[in-house]
Amino acid sequence: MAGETEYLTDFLKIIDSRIVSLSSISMGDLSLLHADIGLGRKIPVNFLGDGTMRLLEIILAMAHARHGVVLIDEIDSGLHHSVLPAMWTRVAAAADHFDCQIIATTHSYGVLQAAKEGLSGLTEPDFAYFRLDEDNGGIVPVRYSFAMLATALENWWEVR
Amino acid sequence: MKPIEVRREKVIFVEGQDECGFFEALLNSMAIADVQVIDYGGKSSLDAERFRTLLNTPGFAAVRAYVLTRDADHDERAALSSLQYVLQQSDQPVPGTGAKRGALGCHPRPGARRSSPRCTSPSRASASPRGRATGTWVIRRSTT
Repeated sequence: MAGETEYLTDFLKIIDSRIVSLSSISMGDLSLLHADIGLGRKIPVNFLGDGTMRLLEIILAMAHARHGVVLIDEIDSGLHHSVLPAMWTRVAAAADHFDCQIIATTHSYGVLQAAKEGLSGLTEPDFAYFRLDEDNGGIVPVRYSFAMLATALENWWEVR
Repeated sequence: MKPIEVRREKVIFVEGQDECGFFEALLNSMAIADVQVIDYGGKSSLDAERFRTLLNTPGFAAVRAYVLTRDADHDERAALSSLQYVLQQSDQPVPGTGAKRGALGCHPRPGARRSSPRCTSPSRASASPRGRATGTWVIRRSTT
């Protein structure tokens, strides 16, 4: 993670703009990540809430998966809907930064609408959405390009 | 409000809310309950990508037959060609071009002036004088 602390800090600002810096503080055998949010003393990052922890989890996974693939189940878990478009924008930027591919799942229409908003600059082959459909007891993927997903969402057509 | 999904085995795709209301009222008056009407959002925006997106809608795999409609405006032939092109580009059978299943029809609106009351093929459609057609093109494809 050398040299990436500022990048991680900026990423977490998606959800908490108070975060000034991150640092690792040793406590016995453990080393815990702390955040400076301008209180005069650093606090453990888990005190900042589940949303911050979720974003931290995602960005750390990406940082450790350079040139690889990151699988994220229910990407919106713990996140307020208002930050989802920015989350998508920053996740896409981070994927580029760390040269990794993101495969994320969701059951939420709102998360897909946020993707449409937050990833508006992305085109094929940088983005694809797959709906998993049931077919005679099996599962078949139904593929949407970004434009197709956007069309469906703009017309309030189901895509899940 | 829940997003629109395909809930019936028979679907009529229409180009706007007015048509949606018309067909739903018609089906209701005819006591037909197993047909769903879905608005594809305007003929000017009905390209293959939009139609393929519609075909991706959950529930469409169970559809046995669908009707694709649009207003012919002032040029029946152009209207028909546009629908045929959309179907072709969407990897769907194209009525009027040798497809084994499916049918074409041109159904005039009540009171519309037409040289022929009903068109069943592209050749007959093209025989109609341009600028007079005010009907609705209907293309139907049976998947079973």
